[in-house]
Amino acid sequence: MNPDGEMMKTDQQSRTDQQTNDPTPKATGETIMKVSHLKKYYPIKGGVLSRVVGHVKAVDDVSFDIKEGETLGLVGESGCGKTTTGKTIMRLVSHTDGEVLFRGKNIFALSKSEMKAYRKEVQIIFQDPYGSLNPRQTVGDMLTEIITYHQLASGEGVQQRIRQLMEMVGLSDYHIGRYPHEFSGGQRQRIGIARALCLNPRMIICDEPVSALDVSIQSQILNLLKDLQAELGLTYLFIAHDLSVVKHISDRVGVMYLGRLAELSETDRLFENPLHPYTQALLSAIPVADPDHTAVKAVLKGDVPSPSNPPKGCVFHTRCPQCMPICSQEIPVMTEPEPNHYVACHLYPAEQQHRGKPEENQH
Amino acid sequence: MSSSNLQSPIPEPPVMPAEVTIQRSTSFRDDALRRFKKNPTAIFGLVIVILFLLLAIFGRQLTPFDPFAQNIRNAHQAPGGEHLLGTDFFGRDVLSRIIYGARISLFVGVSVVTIQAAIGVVVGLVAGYYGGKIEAVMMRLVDAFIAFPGIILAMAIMAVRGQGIENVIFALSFAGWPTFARLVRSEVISLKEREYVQAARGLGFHDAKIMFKHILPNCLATIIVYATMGIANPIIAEAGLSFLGLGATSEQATWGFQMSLERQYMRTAWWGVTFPGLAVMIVVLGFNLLGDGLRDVLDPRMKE
Repeated sequence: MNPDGEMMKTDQQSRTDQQTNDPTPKATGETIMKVSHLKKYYPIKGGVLSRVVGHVKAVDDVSFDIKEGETLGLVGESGCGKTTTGKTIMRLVSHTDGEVLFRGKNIFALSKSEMKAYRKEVQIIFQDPYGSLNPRQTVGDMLTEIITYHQLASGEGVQQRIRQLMEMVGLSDYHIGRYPHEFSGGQRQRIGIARALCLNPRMIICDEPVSALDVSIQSQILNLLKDLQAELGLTYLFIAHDLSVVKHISDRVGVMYLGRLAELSETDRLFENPLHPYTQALLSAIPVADPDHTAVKAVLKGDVPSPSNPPKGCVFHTRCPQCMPICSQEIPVMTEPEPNHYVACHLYPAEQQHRGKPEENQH
Repeated sequence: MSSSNLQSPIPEPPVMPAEVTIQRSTSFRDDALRRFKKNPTAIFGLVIVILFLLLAIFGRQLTPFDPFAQNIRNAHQAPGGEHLLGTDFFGRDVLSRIIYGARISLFVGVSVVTIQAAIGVVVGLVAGYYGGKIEAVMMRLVDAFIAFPGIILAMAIMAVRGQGIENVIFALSFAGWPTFARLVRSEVISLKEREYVQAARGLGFHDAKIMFKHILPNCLATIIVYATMGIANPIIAEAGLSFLGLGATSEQATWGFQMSLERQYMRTAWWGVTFPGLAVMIVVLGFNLLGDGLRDVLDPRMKE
């Protein structure tokens, strides 16, 4: 390996260490958003008359809440419904059932003016920095359009605000007149962040904001997001499939599997003491940067079942190493075996709530 | 790009001076223009089109003879001599009539495509963007229109409304817009899933703004290309209708009308029907080459 590569690795290693030790002074504790029993089913049409012959259960009965100022990570394999959850909360796709309360108000029952206000409060950053910017608009045009549409500023104030936004995301004034194709992936993602910040939102849904980026750029964007959060007191719903990214940025983490939430807890607790067998398998799959490390991997067998025909009972039971007879019969309910540590698994029956670590966990 | 917030303990490599990374800011239009200039067939098409446009605009000043002046003694003079392209049965100068006809033929082509595009774009945008029942109703209507052969539908309309160039334009526009609607709809369906359109929705923009400001500009390239190539169709269709006696009236002297008049003398005076036919062919070729070139230039998928 060339010396440069070596240097970069150590650099990154030390950075990660620094950040995990870094205490995160956030989360005022007030709930900003409460998602309860959210469902999003996509109909499958078939036959001559395109009748509905089934449903893809992209999001199935997901509940969690997000506290003001915190970062809630949402992880899972691709196709587990995490992005759909984010888009449903953004109201970019319609929901099937359940409700999302934002500051106590159900977002699916907002009037037109309330909806406009909600749009100002909650924004989204997309995964694909190439697809998320209109190729026919310069950065300045794009931001001007948003500012004037929502009447956030006028005259000189518009340019001032644009310059302020550019500075916030680490771009320069001379970038304002450029078209998206003139930027690198990382820069485009910064523009995407500027767009999200433009309305001065309280909460941002980050839909895999770094998955499409180079590893060296990932950390820059993540740090930018962290800095912005500290500066502006933002709340993040951070959707990702990369566990190390989620661990880095989140205060709490929810693990999704096949449209359902498997486990939800504070980040450190979840990574140190995963309760759900799926989380355990997921965590053991994180590569360790140590050639002598012999991983005791809980390797899962088989593929993720189709969300159009999920297994009966617990959706994970077909692949679960600790499957019990009850698992194929009943859908597990969310229990709280440890304080603030929620898990949907029959290994942790409801009677054992709040009694510390259940015995089943000692494996 | 700023990297000051990394807090890296290892000294950073020297940052490249900012000027190096700055590219000359070219808009999409400049970029397209540059590529267009490198495309000889497109330039050739453009030259033909411009030539005919000039003929159409300054036709009256350019005609060597009055296109309507009859002179029976001069009937069916062969090309060359005083009348460069010969004269027709009534002794009218064929070249003058072709130049005069360019105005009507191009006017028909451009106005028909404009009307078709205007209707088709709106229908396609609305159907594609809203989807569901709105789309189903609109697109079934479009299917019904497309099920008719365009020229037959146009002939039926002409039969009802009578001869005249306005009626030709109406009939051809009426018969042709569904193709545009289909084209735009399919483009909109793919574009509306793009993240920048979703972002626009997330920003709370109203539907019309998203449709016309964020979706339409991005399918404009396809529309322009199709419209340019499409201009040829009404020119041919008009010639066809006039040839069948269902198009222009005798005062309007289009190419097709001229051909229908002269076709019976084709054996004895080939020039009367051949030269207007050549004019149709060249103008259609020009628009097709231009359209082809524009597609190479404007379609992002064709980019190298």
